[in-house]
Parts: sequence; structure tokens; C-alpha cells
Amino acid sequence: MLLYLVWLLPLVGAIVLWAFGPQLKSWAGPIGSALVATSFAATLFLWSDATAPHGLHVPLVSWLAGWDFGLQLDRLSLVWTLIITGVGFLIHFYSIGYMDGDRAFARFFAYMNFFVFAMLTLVLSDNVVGLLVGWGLVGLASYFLIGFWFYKPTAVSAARKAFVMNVVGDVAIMFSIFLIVSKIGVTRYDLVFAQLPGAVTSHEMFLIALGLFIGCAAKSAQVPLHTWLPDAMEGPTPVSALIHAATMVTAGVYLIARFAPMWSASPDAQELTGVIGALTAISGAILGCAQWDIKRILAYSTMSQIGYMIMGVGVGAYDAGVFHFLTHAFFKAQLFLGAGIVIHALANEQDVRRMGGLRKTMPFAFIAMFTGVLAICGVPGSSGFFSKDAVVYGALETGHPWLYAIGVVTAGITAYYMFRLLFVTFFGTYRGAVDPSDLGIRHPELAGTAALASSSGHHPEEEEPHHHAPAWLMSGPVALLILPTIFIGFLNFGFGGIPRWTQFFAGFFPPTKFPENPVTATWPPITDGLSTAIVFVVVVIGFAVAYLRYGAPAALRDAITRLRTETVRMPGVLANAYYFDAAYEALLVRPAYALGRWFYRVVDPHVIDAGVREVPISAQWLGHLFRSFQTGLVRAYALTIAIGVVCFVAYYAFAFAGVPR
Amino acid sequence: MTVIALVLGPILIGFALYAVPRERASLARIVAAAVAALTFGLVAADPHAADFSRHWLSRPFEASFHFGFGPISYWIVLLLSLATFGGTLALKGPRARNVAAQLLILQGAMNGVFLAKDLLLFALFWDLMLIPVFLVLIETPHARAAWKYLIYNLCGGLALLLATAAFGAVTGSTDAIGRPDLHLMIGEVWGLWIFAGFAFAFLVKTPVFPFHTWMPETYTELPSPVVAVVSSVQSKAGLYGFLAIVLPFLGPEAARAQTLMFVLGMIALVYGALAALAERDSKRVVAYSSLSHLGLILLAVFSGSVLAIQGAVVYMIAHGLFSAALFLVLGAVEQREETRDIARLGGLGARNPKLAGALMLAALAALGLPGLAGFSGEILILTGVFKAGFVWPAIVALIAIVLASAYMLRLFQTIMNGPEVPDLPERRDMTWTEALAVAPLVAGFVLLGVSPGRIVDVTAAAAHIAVPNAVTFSPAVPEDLRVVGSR
Amino acid sequence: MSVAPENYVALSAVLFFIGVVGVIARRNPLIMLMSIELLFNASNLALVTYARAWVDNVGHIFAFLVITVAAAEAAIALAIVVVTFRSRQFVDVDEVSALKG
Repeated sequence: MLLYLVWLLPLVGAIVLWAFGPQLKSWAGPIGSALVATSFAATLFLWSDATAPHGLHVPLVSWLAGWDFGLQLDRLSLVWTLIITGVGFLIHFYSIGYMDGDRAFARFFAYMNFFVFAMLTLVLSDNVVGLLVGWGLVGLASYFLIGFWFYKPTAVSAARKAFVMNVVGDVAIMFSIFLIVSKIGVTRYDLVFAQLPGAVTSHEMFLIALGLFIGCAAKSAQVPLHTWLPDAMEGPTPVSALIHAATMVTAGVYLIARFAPMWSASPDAQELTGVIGALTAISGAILGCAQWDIKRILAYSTMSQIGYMIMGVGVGAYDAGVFHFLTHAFFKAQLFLGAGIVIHALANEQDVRRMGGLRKTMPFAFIAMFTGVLAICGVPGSSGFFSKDAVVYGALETGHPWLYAIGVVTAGITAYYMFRLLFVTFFGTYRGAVDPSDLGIRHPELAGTAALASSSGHHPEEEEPHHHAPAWLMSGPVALLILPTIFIGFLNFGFGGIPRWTQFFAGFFPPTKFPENPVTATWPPITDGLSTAIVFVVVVIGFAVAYLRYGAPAALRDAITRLRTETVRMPGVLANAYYFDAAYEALLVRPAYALGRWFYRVVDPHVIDAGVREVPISAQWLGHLFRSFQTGLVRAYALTIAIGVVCFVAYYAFAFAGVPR
Repeated sequence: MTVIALVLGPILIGFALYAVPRERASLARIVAAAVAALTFGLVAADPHAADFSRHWLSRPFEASFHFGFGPISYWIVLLLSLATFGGTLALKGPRARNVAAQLLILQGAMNGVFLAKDLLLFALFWDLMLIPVFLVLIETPHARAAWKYLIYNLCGGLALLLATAAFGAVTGSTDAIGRPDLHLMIGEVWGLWIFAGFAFAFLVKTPVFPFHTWMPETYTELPSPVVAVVSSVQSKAGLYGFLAIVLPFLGPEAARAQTLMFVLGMIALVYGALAALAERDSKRVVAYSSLSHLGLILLAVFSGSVLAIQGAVVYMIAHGLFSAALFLVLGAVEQREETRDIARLGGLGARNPKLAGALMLAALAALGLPGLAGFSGEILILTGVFKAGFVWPAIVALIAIVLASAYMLRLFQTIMNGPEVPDLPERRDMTWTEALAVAPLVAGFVLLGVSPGRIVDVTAAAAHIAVPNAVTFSPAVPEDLRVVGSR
Repeated sequence: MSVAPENYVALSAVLFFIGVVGVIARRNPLIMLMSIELLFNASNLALVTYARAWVDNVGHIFAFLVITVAAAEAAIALAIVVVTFRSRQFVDVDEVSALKG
């Protein structure tokens, strides 16, 4: 029963806050947060049930024979549920301060609760259809929250883009469901996996995995379906934290971990997943180096980190991928919430070129961001260190040296762009008063700067943080997050009553397959320790480059000139994110609209209707023909009748001439 | 007696409404809504109502006044009463009394179509249900739409009548629905002609590409409350005909026409979706989206898969619910802003949160959001179609689903989101009557989305009536299809 | 003494032919009406002949029917002729072509 509660409390919150928001006023925030917290607490109570061999299982509804749906809580969904509700609660709590004074305060919490509910549906479902329901609802929740400020046209189009791209993923998963139901006939995970080996050929297995993976790619912003993610920064900052840390983008990792038996059985799918993950990791990291919007930098960093996770679960290092999800949830929440404090304090300024020197004015935000940066870079001892190491080394262990190399290089790039963010934002002098054009900003209104907020005169009350809520509402959750951001990685060793991470999932995932390599008897070629050292060296190189370019005293002195030069000289391919958006626009969106217009403006009226109009026109022509017979001359009619009679008689005379009486 | 009351009651009361003075339109509205609610109660309370049957003709073939609930029609009749309830409540304007009367007559006539167990009776009510819609249309500024509607549908009606007569002549009785044994008497030669007649009538009515051009015009010209009823229920008459008449009696012919129907269905799916994506008139967007959605049901009907047909029934009801809700809400918008051009609308959501919420829910159901009714129908249909061996049609349908999310969100966002358009006349959120009109529909598609089980259980029976004669249907004959019926 | 039916039929055919030519060739409506009477009576003759030859009274019945129809026709046609004559002073049916399509 408790599981129903875990699942439904956020939904109740969403409905109540949506329906009675205006009456609840400022109580909406605390109520929404409390419900998520209760859900978290209830999950903790279920710990022992969930860690039992088969987990906890409760029925829900039944559509048809073979289409029975229920909820299940096992080790995998337990990890996700705890993060969703736990980190989700902290983000809710933070939002009480962040969103204070917004006209749609209650609506915001309704959407946030709905987001948590949707994500819980996704991870708690015991079958693939329920997963798809959660998948779709998560897309809807992201749509609501990205488009939360729905009077901003950019937010509206970003929301629609996110939703439609996610639907691409949804239908891909639907395709997999078709295959699963056709070949196996059930939808429940355990039944599907039990019958998997005999019922499905390896080709079909790959197709199922492919469909599921396209779903992952759409939801987890993997290349080439990632373009919605940076645009999604149009939503309020806590939303970004929720989407990136606790919910949504990590769903893809969950899906692959959940379908681990299928992935392990399909080497092709593993290769594909690993390659796409690595590609996403490195391309996201490279784009992170070219951004100026603080939230977009973090967005690309998420894309890159999710790439790591996907690569990890893709190559078969499931527990490593899930571990990286766990640590990432904390440090990414930390980073976003820290960035939120900065943005909030600077009246919605998001362009790092117009920040600088904030270390002195906002020491707390600096500490928060700094710990986050340490963790994401994988500085030894921080949480990201353990998990990233596990993922990268996992790729090598399973026989993917190229993926390993990409992972290592990406770690260096990550260090570069994260410290770039840190130096530009928090060091040097404050540049908020500098004319944007001196910084090379040509279109301030497009660059996510505060110029937009002040110019959209309709709703000043939502933008102006004129009466601040108590600061602890925002700093409290961030302070709480610092601990796990640094220390959660020690789960790797286990402490207290908690087992070592790898033991927690012992026997849960299919065993990692190591390459059978007869040539080199000792695979992997380097040990874990050496690998860690290599990664660390690369990270230090990344940091050093960032320091020299942005953090060294010389760089800080002429920061303005340097930033302008960099902005002006930014290669178009990076500034436009490899032209993915432009390509989609030109290849898909415009042709679809043009075709649609052609259908209803040309085909309908001028082809089909014109064709139909031919019917009466030909009838008219026939009428004209017959009209000519109507001479009006009585004698002509008589003659016609006479001829008719003659013909008639003649016909019978000849036809029956030989017939005997 | 329940069933005959369902047919005659609304018609008689509808005529009686003309006695209400023109100025007291609200009285007429309330009476009509009450009648609709009453029919809902009547149907819901007595799902096992006895058939009504009286002898009618014995020459040239047996025919009788035979009405009764069928496993599919029961749910459609329920849907119809909900749609009529919403439509009558939402009526406004100087002609409200007349339209309320016409709506009731329409309800009665459509009840006749769905409850008729006799094909001749079916054909009779089939044409009868055109009249109220025509009478409403002819009074609108663009009477052309009325004639287009009438001519297209009468052509279909003529084909239906001829097919029915041929059916009666061949089998000796038109009292056929629910008696699939009659199919044994239809030979191959006549079977094809009878099938052609029925199929033409049903394709025009549904409508399916390329017979659809009457629909966008009719839907835009009709007042929204009426179009809510027409799009939600009248468009189901054709599909119901396929399920209740064509599949049980003309299975082999349906199997022969399968490829053609699949092609038409797929064209309708994509064509409607793309046209809806580009359209600027809000009601035409929904009209084209209907074309797309109904194409999906056509695929289900001709796939020969039990699962797909169960899904088709769910989706028919779902489409009825959400398209009625969409038209009612768009009608409310049109009434306030005096335009349907979505390029001229914008930002209404800021001042009209309830209206925006209602439109959002209906649009979400229409785009197939998991958890709402559109999804449960879609996934059952497509799984069935796929399972029956039609991989590419399923993939085309998936593309149409992606397009559906694009055009439905575009519709919603351009009306409700973005900066407010300053020079629009009226800013008033949903009234209580408008909310009451939409609420049952919304509740319906939410429930049906969460648990279509109740409806599907009943339709499992329907599917077994419908499919067994659909001999050797699919390329890879799935195990749940029995191959029956050599003649 | 009896005359062979063939003779009656031949006479009927001759009468009929004369009637047809009269209707088609003449322009005077009165003459045309008289020709039509010839047609009627030619057919009556044939009917009665066959009725007798085959000993079947249906032919007689039809003959009576034709006589009544002929009477009605004459009445109506003469009325039309009189009415048109009054308004037009015509003698030629070809001039009455208001029903031209």
C-alpha cells in the first residue's frame, strides 16, 4: 500500500495545487515540497522490501489479457525513486525561495509535482507499456515547465520542440512494444526477460533495442536528438535542475539498465549505444566550451555526462553507469541551484560575460559551484571521481579502447569548460555595467541576458525579485547538497550498513562480458589505478588550459578584450551547435509545412474537388446533347416514335424468326 | 421499450421544442440538455435492454423495425448522449432554439442508425441523420457547404440503399445485424457489388481520403456545438458500418480490398496530419486531424486483427470524446474572439486559465498522450496491426503520431500562449455552463485512458462477431484469427 | 362464311400506315387528329381480330379500353386545338414549338 502512496502523493499534489492554487497562495510551495518529502520517506520505509530478491510488486489495472499493469520497486527503481523524491524535494524546497513572488507560484509547484509523479510512473512501472506512459508524461511535464513563462515566444517554441522530439522517442518505444507483444506476447519485464532467449531472434532483439534506444536518445538528449536540451533552459532554473539532475534526462539510463538482459544479449545494440554515448559525451563537452549562457554551459555538460552514463550502461558496465547517474544527480543539482542563486541575485542575468568577480559578493554561491565543479571534473575524492572512473574504465574492461580514449579526452575537456565557467563568473571584476557590445554581444535580447527580462513589460512582477524570500530557503538545500556532492562517491567502498556499490547490484544485472581476446591474455592492458592516474593527468591539463586562458592574473586583467575577441572569433559551427537545428529546420520542418499547405490549398480544392466537379459538368454536357432532340415539332416526335416502333418490331421479328410456336 | 424510446423520444421532443418561443432559447437548451442527460441515464442504467422488433416487409425481402443494443453500438449511443449534452449546453446566439431542436432530432436519428438491427432501417436513418445537419448548415452564411455536405452524403446514401437492396434480394432478409450466418448466402459475384456499395457509403461518411473534402467545409461552417456532435458521432457511423456490417457479412470481399483500404488509410493518416500542421483555421486543423485519426481506425478495421479491432472500438469512443471537447472549446474561443484564424489569436491562456486547461487536456488526448484515451486506442490498434504483419503501415502511423503532437501543440500554443494579442474583443474565462458541457467528455477520456478494460472486455465479444468471417486476412496469419468460412 | 384473319390484319396494317403518314406528313392539327383516330381504329381492328382468332376476350376488353382512351384523347386534343386556334389563328402545327428544349 505504501508504494501506491509513494507513487500517488505527487499526483495528488499536482491536482490540488493546480485546482486550488489561487486559494493556497504561498502555501502551495510548502505543500508541494512536503508531499514529495513524504514520498521520499515512504520509499525509505520500503527499503527492505525493495532490496528483497524480487523486489516489491503491486497490481494496478488490467486492460486485456496480457496487458496487466502494476508497480514494482526493486533495487534499480529504488535508486531512481530515492533520487527523484530526495533530490526532487530539495529542488522543490529551493524553488519556494526562487519562485517567490511569481504570479503563477502554485501552478509552478503543481507542474513540479506532476513532473515527479511522471518520473515515478516511469521508474516504478513493472511493464513496458507503463514505462511508456511515464515516458510520455515526463515529456508533458517538461513541456509544461519549459514553457512555464508562456508569454515568452522563445519559451513556447522551446517547450514544443522538447515535446515533439520526445514524442519521436515515444513512438520509437512504441515500435519496440509492438515487437515485444508480437513476439513474446507479454509486457511485464520479468516475463519478457524470462522468454527472451527463445522467442526472439538476434535481429529482432537488435530492432527492439534500437527502438528503445531511440527513445533513450530523445529523452536523454543523445546525438542526434539532443537539440531540445539547450533550448529547454528557457524554463526557470529549478526546472533545469529537476530535468537534469533528478528526472527526465536520466530516464534513458534507467531504460537501458532496466533492459540490461536485452542489451547484454545483443552485442550490436551494445556497440551502437556505447558509440552514441561516447559521441554525445565528447560533442556535448566541446559545445560546452563555446557557450556564454551559464545555464547552457551546464546543459551541454549534462548532455556530455549523460553520454558517459549511456556509454557505461551501453558497454555493459551497468552498475558503473547507474553509479554515475547517482553522483551526477547530486552535483548537477548543486551546479544548477548554485547557478540559480547567481541568476536570481543578478535579476535573471544568465550571460557569464556580464558577470565576473562574483566570488566576493556571493561567496556561498561560489562555494556551491566550486564543489560542483570539483565533482563533475572528477577531482580525486569527490563523488564524480569514483563514478566517472568506473564508467571510463568499464569501457576499457569490456574491450572498447576507442570509447575509453574518448572518455578520457572528454574528461579533460570537461575540466576545461567547467573551470572556464568558474573563472569567468567568479573571478576578476564585475562586468555587469559594461556595455554589451564591448563584450562582443550583438543581440543581447537573444543571448539570454537580463535585457530580455526588463523589456518584456507585460509581467514585471514575475521578473523583479523585489521582495526576497529569506535567503536560507535557497541556500539551505544547496548547503545540504554539498555533502553528497563531495562524499556520495564513497558508496563505492560502502560504509555503515550500506554495502559496496557493486555488491548492491550483485546478481541484479547480467554479468559484464569481457572480451575473449586470445592475443593479449591480460586484458585490460592497463590496471584500474593506472587508468585513474591517466584520467587525472588529463583533467589537470584541462584545468591548466582553462586557468591560463581565463584564471591567470594576466587573463583577468584584460578579461573584457579577451572575451570580446573570443566571442567574435567563435567558429560558426560551434556557435550554431554543429547546425543540427538548421538542418532539421531545412530538411524536416519546412518541407512538412510546405507539403501541408500544398495539400489544403491546392490538392483539396483544385485536384479532388475539381475532380468531383467534373461529374456535374459531364452531366451538364449530356443534358446539352439530349436537349437538341427536343425540337418542339410535334411531327418530329411522331416520326421518332414511328421509327422506334419500326425498330422494335423489326427486332422481335428477326430475333424470334426461327423460333417455333 | 428503452431502445425505441431512445430513437423516437429525442426526435419527438425535438419537434416539440419548436413550440417554445424563439426568445426563450435558454429554456429550449435546458430541455434539450436534460433529454440528452436522460438518454445517458437510460442507456447506462439498462445495458441489457430487450430488443424492439416489429414486422415491416415480407416482400421482396424480409425487413422489420428492429432496434437493439449491440456490443459496439451501446458505447457509441452513450457517447452520443454525452456529446449531445455538451452540444446543447454550449449553444448560444439567436438561433439557439432551432439548433437545440435540430440537435435532438439529430440525436434520435443517429440513435436510429446505431441501434438499427435491420439494414433497411439502418439505411433509412442513415439518410435521415443528414437532414438536421443540412437544415442547420443552410442557415449559415456559406450555404454552399450545406449543399456539398448533402450531395456527398446522399451519394453515399444511395450506394448504401442499393447495397442494402441487393443484400436483401440475395439473402432474403435485411434483418441481419447480429446474425452473421447470413453471410453464407452471399455469393462471390454479388458479394463484391454489395461490398462496393457499403464501402463507398462508409468511406464517404467517415470520411477517408479522397472523399473527405466535404468535411473541412462542413466542420468550419457548422456552429461548434453541432460540429462537436457531428465529428464525434456521425463520423463513427461509417466505421461502425464497417465493423457491424462489412466484416461479418463480407469478410472475403473485405480481405480482397485490404490493400486498397490500407493505402487509403495511410494516405489519410499522413495527408490529414500534414494539412493540419499547416492550416490556420482552428476548426479546420481539428477537421484534418480527424481525417488522420480516422485513417488509423480504417487500418485497424481492415487489419483483421482482434486486438486492433478492440483498439479501434476504444479509439472510436476516444476520438468521439476528445474531438467533441476540442470543438466545444474552440467554439468558445471563436465566440469570444470572433475569429478562427490562429494567426490572429494569441496569449489567451493568461486571462482564461480554465479555457486553456480544457483545450490543453483535449489536445493532449488528441495527440495520444500516454494515460489518456487516444493513447490506449492507438497502442492497441497499432500493436494489433503490427502483429498481423503490417510493419510499414504501423511505422507510417507512428510518423503521423509525431506529426499529431506537432500540430496539436501548435494549435494550443498559438491560441493560448505567447504574447497577448491586444485588439481582441472579449476576455472572459469559461462560464459554468461551458465547463459543464466539456467536463463529462474530459472525464470520459481520462477514465478510458487509464482503464479501457471495461469497454474492451465488452468489445472482445464484438470483435469475435466481427472477425471470424474475415477469412485469410493478413499476410502472416496471426494465431488469434480463426480461418473460417469457405462458402 | 368467314373471312380469314389475315385479311383483317392486312387491312389493319394498311389503315395504320395511312394514319402514321397522316400524322407525320400533314400540318393541319385537325387532320393529324383524324389520322390518330385512324391509328386507334387500326389497332382496335387488330385486337378484335386476334381476340376472335384465339378466342380470348382480352382483346375485346382492350379494344373497349382503346375506344375510351380515344374519346378522352379527342376531347382533350380538340380543346387544346381550339384554345391555341383562338390565340394564334394558326393552321400549321410546326409553328407550335414552345416546348423546344
